[in-house]
Parts: sequence; C-alpha cells; structure tokens
Amino acid sequence: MSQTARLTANAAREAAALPPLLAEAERAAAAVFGVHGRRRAGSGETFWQYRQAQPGDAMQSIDWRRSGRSDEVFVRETEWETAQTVWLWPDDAASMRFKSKKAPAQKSDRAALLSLALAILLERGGERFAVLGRKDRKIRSGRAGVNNAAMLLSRERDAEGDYGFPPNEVLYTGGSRAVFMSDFFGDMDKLRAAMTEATSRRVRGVLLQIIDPAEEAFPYKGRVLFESIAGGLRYDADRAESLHDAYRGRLAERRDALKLMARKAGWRFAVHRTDQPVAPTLMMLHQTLENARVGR
Amino acid sequence: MMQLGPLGFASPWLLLALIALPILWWLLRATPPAPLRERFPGVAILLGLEPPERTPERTPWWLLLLRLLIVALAILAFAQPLLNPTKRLEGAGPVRVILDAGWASAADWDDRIAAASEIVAQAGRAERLVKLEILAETTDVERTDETLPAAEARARIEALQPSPWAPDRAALLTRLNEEATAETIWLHDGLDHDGAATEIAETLLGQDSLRVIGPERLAKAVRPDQPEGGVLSATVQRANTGIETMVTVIGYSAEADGARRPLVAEEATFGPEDTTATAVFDPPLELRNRIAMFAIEGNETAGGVALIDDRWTRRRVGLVSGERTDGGQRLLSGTHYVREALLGIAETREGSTADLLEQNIDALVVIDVGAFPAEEATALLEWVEAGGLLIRFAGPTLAATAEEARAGFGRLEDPLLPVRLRPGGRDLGGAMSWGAPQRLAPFKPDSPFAGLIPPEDAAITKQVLAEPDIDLPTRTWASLADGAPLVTADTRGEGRIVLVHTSADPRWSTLPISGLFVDILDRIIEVGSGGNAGEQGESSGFWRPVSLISSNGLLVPSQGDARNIEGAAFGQSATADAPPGLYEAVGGSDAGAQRAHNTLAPDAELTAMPAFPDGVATDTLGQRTETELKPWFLGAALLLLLLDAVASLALSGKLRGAVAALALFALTTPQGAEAADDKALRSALEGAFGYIVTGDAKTDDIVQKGLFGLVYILNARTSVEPPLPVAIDLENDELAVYPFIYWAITESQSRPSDDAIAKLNEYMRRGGMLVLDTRDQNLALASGETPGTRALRRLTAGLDLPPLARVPEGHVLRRSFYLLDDFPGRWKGGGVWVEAAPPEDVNEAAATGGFKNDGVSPVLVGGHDWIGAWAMNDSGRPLLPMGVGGERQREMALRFGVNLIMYTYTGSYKSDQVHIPALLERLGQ
Repeated sequence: MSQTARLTANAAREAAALPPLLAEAERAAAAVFGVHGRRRAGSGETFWQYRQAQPGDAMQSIDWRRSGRSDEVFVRETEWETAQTVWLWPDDAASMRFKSKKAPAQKSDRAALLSLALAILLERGGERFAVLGRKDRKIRSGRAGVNNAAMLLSRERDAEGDYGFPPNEVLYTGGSRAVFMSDFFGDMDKLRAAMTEATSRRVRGVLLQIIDPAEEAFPYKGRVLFESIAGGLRYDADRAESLHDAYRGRLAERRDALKLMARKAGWRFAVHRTDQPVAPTLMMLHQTLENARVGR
Repeated sequence: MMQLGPLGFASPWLLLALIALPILWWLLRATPPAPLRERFPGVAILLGLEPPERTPERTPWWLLLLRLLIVALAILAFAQPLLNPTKRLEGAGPVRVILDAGWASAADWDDRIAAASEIVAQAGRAERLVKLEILAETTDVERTDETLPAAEARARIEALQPSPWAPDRAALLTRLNEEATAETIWLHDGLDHDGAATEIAETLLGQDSLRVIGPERLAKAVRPDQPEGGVLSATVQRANTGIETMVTVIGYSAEADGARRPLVAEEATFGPEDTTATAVFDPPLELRNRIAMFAIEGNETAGGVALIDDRWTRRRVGLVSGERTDGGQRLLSGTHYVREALLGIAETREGSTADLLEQNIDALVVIDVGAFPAEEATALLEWVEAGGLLIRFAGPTLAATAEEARAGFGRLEDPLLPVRLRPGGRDLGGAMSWGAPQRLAPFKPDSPFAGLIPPEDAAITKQVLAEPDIDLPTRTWASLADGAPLVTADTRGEGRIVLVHTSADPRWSTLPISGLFVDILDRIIEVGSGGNAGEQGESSGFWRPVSLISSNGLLVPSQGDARNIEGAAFGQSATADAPPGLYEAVGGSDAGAQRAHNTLAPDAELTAMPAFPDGVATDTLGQRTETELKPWFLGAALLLLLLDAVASLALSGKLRGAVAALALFALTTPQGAEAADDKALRSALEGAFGYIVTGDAKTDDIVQKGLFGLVYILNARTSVEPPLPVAIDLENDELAVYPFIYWAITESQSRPSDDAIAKLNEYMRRGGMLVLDTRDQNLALASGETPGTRALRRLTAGLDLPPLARVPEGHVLRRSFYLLDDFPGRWKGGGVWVEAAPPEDVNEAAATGGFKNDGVSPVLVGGHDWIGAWAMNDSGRPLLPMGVGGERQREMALRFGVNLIMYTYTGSYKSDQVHIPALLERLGQ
C-alpha cells in the first residue's frame, strides 16, 4: 500500500512538474517552422512516389504493376522512414545549476528545455530519441516518449559532482546522432573518452556549450572567494578584476580545444548563452541533425 | 579640566588615545576586507591561474576615514567634552552659596536657580556640603544655619522664590565675620543695595576663594514722582550709564478681581549719562484716576513696579463764588486766587452749585457765600454727607450773614458751617483798630497742615470769628498767633466742611498771595477726600496690607497672614517686615486712608555694584550655559557606525536584502491614528453617544448595553435617533464629537492621564455632557459615602468640575420631556448632582465666572446605576433585575434617560417654555 501511495505521490508530483517544461518546450519547438516529415524518398514502408526507372536502378525495385499500365518502367519509391535515434545529453551536474544575477534561467534548466524541445521536434519527424544521464538510457519515440522525457527532465536531479560528463557505455546505434549539452568545464579527457566512444559507433552530432553570461563576462571585482557549486573547488582571488583577462583567455582556449575535438570527430561545436533566446539555437540544432542524417 | 576656546574636556587624559589613531589606520589598511563568497562554476577554469598581482584588495580610503572618525568621536566623547564649561569647584570642605534673592534677582530668576543648582550639583558630585545664604528671605522662613547635603540644598534652592525687597547684605556681613567657610560663590544682582558689597567681598576673599556671578543686565526700577504741579509722571532709575536707552512705562489699573489692565503707556528716554528718565503722563482725568501702579514694560520685578495711592489722584473741584464782582478786577477776586492755587492740584469747574453737584466733583470751594437757598442747602448737605468736601471762604457776605443771624434773620446755626460764627468780625491792624495784623501760629502736629511752615509774610487783617465752644479746639486746624481759629473743619456724615475764616482775596489777609495758600488748599482737598493729610509716615496707628506686590511685580491680594506695619515704614524701602504693597490705615487719625508702600523708598537711588577687589573670579549669569557634548559625540559616532554598516553592506553586495528588511519594518508602523480619526469622523456625522472604556470588561459590557437600551427607547419614543453607542478611549479618542458621554465609575480604573483630564475639561467647557455614575447608591451609608464616591474622587481629581448642587425643584431636567419627580436608576434615593444654579444677581454671576453654557450643566453626577436599568439585549429585553421599585422603576429610569438626552440636546430651551404663559399674558396687555 505504501508502495502504491508513494508511486501515486511521485506520479502526481511529476505530472505537476510536467506541464511547464513541456509547454515551454512545445512553444520553443513551434517557433521552429518548416519541419514536416522527411518528404523525401528513402527506405520506409509508406509509399512516396513512382518515378521512371533510370539506369542503375535495381531490377528488384521496379514496380511491375505500375509499369504494366504504361509503356514506361516505374520504380516505386517509399518515403524515407528509417527512424533514427538521437541521443540527447543535457548535463545536470552541479555546475549546471548556476544562474547569475542577470541570467534568466539556470544552465541545467536551459539544457533540459532545449533537450525536450528537440525531442518534440524529433518526435514530429518520427524519429526516436534517448535522454542520457539521469540513470536512464531508454530510447523513446512518439508522444508518450515525449511525455516520459518531459517527466524525466523535470525530475529533481541528483548531483554527483561539480562537473558532468556524457555517460559512457551507451549502446549507440550505428550512424545515430547525438547532442551533448554542457558547460564543458569539467575534465577534457573524460569528455574526449566519451566522444571517442560515440564516434567509434559512427555517431555524429553537436557539442553545445551552455554558458551563463557571468561565466562569459567575468564581472567580478574585489576580493572574491570563488567556489564551485558543490563546493568542491575553491579559488581565492584577491583582486578579481585583475583575473578578468586571464579568465577570458582560458575560456577561449577551452573553446578552441572543444572546437578542435568536435571537428576531428565530425561534430559541430556551438555555444548557447542562457540570456540568448532558445529558438535560433534550437533551429540550428535541428538543422545540424538533419544534415548529419543526410550524411554531410 | 582642559579648555580649547569654548570647548573643554572634563577627562582630558583620555584624549591621549587619539595617538592610537595612526596605528589603527595602519591596521585597518593592512587587513583586507572579508572576501566575497561567490558560487561560480567557472572556477575550474580559474584553477591553476597565477594571479597577476597578489596585493590584497584594500578597504576604500573613505571607509577607512569613516571608521577612524568613529573611533575619534568615541574617544572625544569619553573625554567628556563640554561646551562653554563653567568653572568647577575647587578645594574641599563646605561650599557657601550666597543668593541675593531680592527684587532685582527676579528678572533672571530661572537662570539664577539653574546656576545655583548646577553649583550645588557639582558640590554633590564632590560630596561636599553646601551652606546656603539667602539674603532676602521672608522672616517667616526659619534661617537654617547648618550646612546641608547637596540634595537638600538643591531642593531648597528649587523651592526658593525671590522676595520683593532688597537683600539684606549688612546682616550677612555680621554672620560672615562670625563663621568662616571655604569656597564661596555669590550670585549677586549687580546692585549695591546697602553699600556692604565691597566689604563682603573683602571679608570673603580674606577667608577663602570667592567667585561672584552677576546678572547680564542690571535691573531698573521705577518710582512715581510726587504729584506736584498736577503732572503725573514716573521716574525710571538705572544703575549703569553709558548707553542711550528707552523704556516704556505702563500705567495699570488695579481691578477688583486682582487683574491689572494697562491704561496708559509712555516712554522714558535715558541719555547716555543719565541714571534717571522720566515718563510724563497726561491722560484724561477719568483714566488718570484709575491708574494704580506704574510698571516698566518687560521688567517683571517688584522694583519695576510702583504703586500710587490717593495722593496721586487728581480731584475735580467745583468753584462757586458769592463775591460781587467788580468788573474785570481779577486780582481782587477770591475766585482767581483759588483757581490759580488749585491749578496744580485739581481740575477746577465753575458754575452754579446745582450744576456742579451734578458733575461728580470731589470738593466744592465756596467763596464768600452767606446763605444758600433752602433747596440748594439741602442738596449740598446731602452731598457732603455722602462724602463731599465743602470748603468755604469767609468774606463780607458771610460776615454779614452772621450779623443777620444774630439779628434774628435766618437760622442761628448753619449746618454748612463747621462752627457757629460770632457776629461781627475781627479787624486787626486797620486804621480803627489797635492790634497789629496777626500772623499764623505754627501748626499743631495733629493738624492736617502739620509740617507746613507758616511764612512770615502771611498776615491776617480781617476774619470772622468762631463762637467759643467746647468742641472748637478739636475742630481747629489752624489758628492765629493769638489763638483765634483760622481754619476750622467738621465732619458731616462721610464728608467734611472746612471753613477758612478769612477771605480768598487779598483784601482781608495776605494769605492768598503767600505760598502757604496753595499748600493749605492742597492739604484740605487731600484730607477731605479720605487721604492722610499729614506728612507721610507720621500717622499714628497701624497700617493693614490690602494687597502686596509680588516678587514678579504683580499686585496680589494680601493673605491673612500678612502683618500690619507701622506708619514709620513708609518713606523707606521695603523690607521683610514691611513688604511692598498697598496699605490701609487701621485706627489713628486717618483710618481708612490708603497708602502705597513701594519696594524702593521715594528717595532711593540705584547704585551699581562697585568693582570687586582683585582675586575675585567674576562671571556673568545666563550668558554661557555649560552644555555636555558627550551624548552628541556618541550619537554622531553611532550614526557614522550605522553609515559604516550600510557602506560595508553595500561593498559586499548585501545591501538589497537590508533595504528590503528596512522597508518591511517601515511599512508595518502607521496604523492606529487613522483608525481613531475614522471613528471620530463617523461619530461626528451621526451624533453617536459615547461611553468611557473603564477597562473592566463586565462594566463596559453593561454600559454598552445600557446605552444601546437608551438609544432603543429614544428611537422608539422620540425624534432623537442616535446610532449605536461608541466606546471611547479617553487617552486617544477625540471627545468633541460626542454630544453625550457616559462614564461608569469603577474602582479598578486607573486615573486618566493629565492630557485626558484636560481633554475632558475642554469637553465640558465647550458644552459637552458628561454623566458620572458610581452605580452603587444601594451601598450608600447615611453619609452618602460609597466605594464608588471614593473612586469618583480619585478618578476625577484634576477635573475642572463646576460647583455642584442637587438638582433643584423646577430644574429643566425634571421636565425636558417627561415630568419627573425623581431620577431613579436601578437604585433610588440619594442625590443627583448638577452644576449649581448661578447666583440670582447677574453681575455677581459674571464676576464669579460661573454660569457658562447658558446655564446648562456640563456634568451630571449620581450613583443610581441608570445604565444598569437601561441595559437591554438586542431584542429589547432588560438585562439586569431592578431593585425594590420593579419594572415601574425601570420605566422611570428610562424616562429619566430620555429627559437627560433632551436636556443634553436642547439645554435650557424647555425652561424658557415654562415662561410662555407669562409672556403671552404680557403680550396680551
């Protein structure tokens, strides 16, 4: 009985948490227009079109019934329906739970929003998606999958350290795509390892650095004791303003490193600042995933 | 004690701590401010970053300065800074404080008391005894010779009042020589009253240190000038010369009720070197005779006022002549001489006797009239008996009348003559006589002319003679060298008749052309009007004070304990034994006469205090008051500390929270006052009845229900339709909006504050209606005393209740709506009290100041628990059981309530109604 009660309570809590994020994600997804199905011939079940056979078409592909009705030989094409999986990793480590005074949202919130919005767009396109992290790796699809993902993303996160890394030992399906959303302030080597694992399965995708405006501008002055969110790291700056340039330099270095790592793996590296609107980033992500699928 | 300009420090060694400030500066600079803790994910990037400079963040220089300032202020504060520090007491042993406390000290008395208290307080801090010497004290106060502890001395000083006479320094001198004390502080008034000042100073200086504190400005004094030449003037004296000043002298009247009213004001201007200045008054006679005292404007001392008495009053004298005028020969007319003689003494009127008598004259001079017509004689006699003064001069006509009387014509004895006249005058030094012209004999001491010197050149050649009589010597005021009476007088009722046995013109004597003539007339007129004709102070008998001059220059009616003084006191300055004031003679020859006794003798002069010998520390009073700056310094430091806190918060970015907390705090305060105003506004619009919250929940409930019951009945039976009653918090609520306030007295209620009492007084004065109900008439003993009456007395102490009386028969309260014989509540019997009816005499009523509000009582006092009888629940059912009278009595109680409200609203209107039949009857005629 207590089990049931707890379950019900959890369900109610999660259901209550669901609508805001989902609604927001829906709104964000709606802003991305021009995305309707694949509208493109491919390997699928659904009829797409007949076209005249051209040299090089396999004999098996000729639709004889259609060709019998005319002099031409027609090939029946089905719509490209191969549902592909997109692996979404919104980092939910402690460092993502940061919001400076001027930022509208925490970085992790933004990551969750982007993930869910992307999931909605993918679902609309009939694709499958998986939200990594949060001890969940299930591949989902359809509206129910979106709802489940929303619930998952709305769930209270369990911090495991200051900085998060894409989970390894993911059973990436070959040729699938991935979006890693994090501030990438953690150890580069662990990230690289995860990347390598993904690339080895021919996964391509996007490294999206979600960053707070304060992390970009470093507006601190005077004597400041910097602490990581979980409190694991400290840095005592006697005159914070003097560190400004050094910090900016280091940030740029890290971005260069990330960009390089992405390019090597055939990925794309992008930056999203939490004070920026969601839609352009979402559009960019969506298009990148689209293109990656076509094989570019 | 250290002093820098006007700033002194009581504990200057503490200032050494200021040396530590630079060290503090260095320390504060060395310590970086507490770091700001910032959560920042980017710290991972920062890790391993070598900071370009390790110099710690400094505290901003202004914050540093602020903090140093705070510390400096605190140090200064604890060094006890004093602005204008007064000199401290030095040495040990008792301190002698001499206070002049005479009339000249009254002007700056508060400063004196403050200065003396300060000295005594200092002595108290040093645990030294104080020996007080108060130089002008009433003799009633027993002089304390022992030295007092500071606290007692202070209490005495604070209870001290200046006396309206000069300090007795000579007496102090004798005491000083007897006993030597330590340090002396003398608060003097800057005047040398009896020339003993220097000697005192020298004696004290010989004993120990002396500090004198003098006034900032010396007192001025005023004295009335002798009324010579008919000019009323007052002389203002000052002790210091050098500057030209102008003072205003005001002539006041003394009203019967003790008030004084300014009548005239004139300016007196001191030249740079003048010590006296005269203000000359020339008011109309009526005004002039009402002037009772002169006062220097703005000078509230006994010396600054001067009383004048009857001698200054200018009289109106009528002049009637029976002379046969020899057309134009003025110098042969007695009228001319009398008129000229009276010029400076009185205002003269001429005309017929009948006319003059109607002009309210004080004296009538009749020159050579033998007999008056019968009707006129009667009128004259009546006038004299009512207090008039008739002065007759002899002459040919009068002499002839005396002849006629002997011959059998006319009456033998004329009531308008003081003596019987012998027929046939007396002729001296004439061609047909042997005797030489007679000179005047010196005046006898009991004569009104006592003190005047008969001149050598005044000789009488002709006179009428008085019939020898046993009374003749007592009636004689002046006689010739051979003893023949020259001036005789007798009383008739209140008045007097004076006969000068020679003529007013120079044909019978040279008296009219001598200076004595004027003096004699002056004296006669003065004595005839009730004054003391003798030289002042030489009267026998005692003088009783009528009113006395207080130390602040006001005339106060004399109390029962004021002593009589002897006549010799006049002419001298006032002393404790003869305080200044207006005196009336008791017994003696001039019983009833009034004399002014002023603070300063008529010939007294103000002398400034001579310069003190070297070695005396002199100080001026009131100019510089010592101000302790410690609280200001500490306050400033605290304020800066607050500023520092704000600045620190701002620096560490935590200001917003603090501001929010402060704003929240500020938002929660304003509430109550608006609520009270709101309530008052509602009550004012609707005319709600109020009841005073007693604090006793049960009583308050009954009172509320009782007033509800009354309102219920009023709504049902009358056109008065008040809303529900309102509870009044005496301390906070505005009373003026309630037409009717019910106060049920309970023993448990605590006395209202003075403010509340003042509000209630104002309420009653402005026509409110306050009902005080002790609710315990049933407990009354034969004396009428109940626990409630005691509580009533306690609670209403300070309440300005009018004189109360039981509700009289025929009071409006008995018939303002219902006709009622009795005012029962739950209890019966005992009295119900309202303001006593005003005295029958309207003038008397106005004088006592009662009878306000058109005779409507502002208060009703009783113990019948009306409120209990009225009390009803919401459905109109009575709440409390009635006493013996049952429900019938409850009905009566309610009727009383209706009457009471009617009385409250309509006042005496119903009593006017009572007179309607009489008015109608009169109209019908």
